[in-house]
Amino acid sequence: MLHQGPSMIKPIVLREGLRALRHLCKRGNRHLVDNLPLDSIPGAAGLIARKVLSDAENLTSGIDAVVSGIARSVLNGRTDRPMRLGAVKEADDEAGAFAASFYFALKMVLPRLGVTDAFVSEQAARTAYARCTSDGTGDMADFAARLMLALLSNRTVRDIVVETAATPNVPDAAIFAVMLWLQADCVQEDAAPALDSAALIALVLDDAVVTAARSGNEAALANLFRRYVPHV
Amino acid sequence: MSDWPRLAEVLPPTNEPLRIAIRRLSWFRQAFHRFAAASGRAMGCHFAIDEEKLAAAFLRWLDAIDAQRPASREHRRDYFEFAAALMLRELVVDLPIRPQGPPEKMAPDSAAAFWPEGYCCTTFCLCLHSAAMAQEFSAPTQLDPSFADLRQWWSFRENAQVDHAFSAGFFQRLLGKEPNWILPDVFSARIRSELGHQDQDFGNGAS
Repeated sequence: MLHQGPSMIKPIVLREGLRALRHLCKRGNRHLVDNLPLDSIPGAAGLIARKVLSDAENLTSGIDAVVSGIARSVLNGRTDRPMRLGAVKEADDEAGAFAASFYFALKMVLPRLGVTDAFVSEQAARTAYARCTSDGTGDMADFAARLMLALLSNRTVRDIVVETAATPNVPDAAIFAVMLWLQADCVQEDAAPALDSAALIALVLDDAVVTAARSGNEAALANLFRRYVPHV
Repeated sequence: MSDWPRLAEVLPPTNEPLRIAIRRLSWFRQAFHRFAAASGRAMGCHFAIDEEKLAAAFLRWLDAIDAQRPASREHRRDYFEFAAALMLRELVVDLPIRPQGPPEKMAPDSAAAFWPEGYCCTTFCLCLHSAAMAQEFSAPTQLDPSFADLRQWWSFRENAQVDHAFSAGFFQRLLGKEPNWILPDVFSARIRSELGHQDQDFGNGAS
């Protein structure tokens, strides 16, 4: 059982901080690799440069391990079992369970959209969810639409690096795909194929999603969810 | 390819009725991938699949079958068949597969060699149709002899490039039906011409 209260906030804050540090390290490492001419640095200086790079990569890997360990404490000990939106609403720590599931799903969706790197803020997702639960009108699709706008507003996915863009509207498409998937009844069975399908649906509906999201049109987003959730 | 019905074995398992599973993109994609791979092995070529085109075809098909679903359950079985014809239409609009090389195991004058990607999409739709009809109505699927006629495929490919609706008519012909060639992709027109109904109300209805 998850416990409510301040004790659950600390792991998420710590995890977020470590992820930010890891993100910074990865970017820094990539910058070093791209810009440090190792082959042309002679002798001892070259050895030192290679050691610095190696240490930086080890630091990043170490942070990865710590972050993963903390992540398990939120999803009832399992990082491979994200919760459907309906199940999230039954959880003791709704916002925490949602944020962890959202983070898991978004990290899987982003590569389909051509994203090679991005920072996903679990804290921002948690805050967005907490803001939405105070307004209990409408059905699940209405709630998902409201939540999607809040997630976009909170910039839950930021600092995006795209190799070959499948869409110019990555945050909108990615969050729509995740919200679609979180409402589908296939969430806990075969995550990867269903998430991939949700991402493809988001890409096909790109114009409609962006138009609705940019205009803050909850009703239009909710209708898209009602229409396509059964077909993920 | 006379062994295409056995390819139904390559369809992914599901706990849902096929008529439900087919309308989930994740199942549909998996089915298409497995069918294309099996077809490629049988034909002696490899098919590259464009996932976004496939997803787009799927969503257009969903819209099409919902828009034309008859209000009366009287035509449910006929509509099952017609839904497969609409699926072929959407796949042909923007073919989501491309052969990587010629089908080396097929005779040069065969339909599969003439148009591998069109042949694969058509047999995929036939396979889904056959499996769904067997499950829902215990009805076997019989192919019209025109399936083996290369001239029909030539006509299909040429006409479908001009008017995608032709694909739906060709599919119905493969099942031994005579389509309404003026409106081959309109279910109400087919029903009126085949069954002689007058003044039917064909609006959206429950499946």
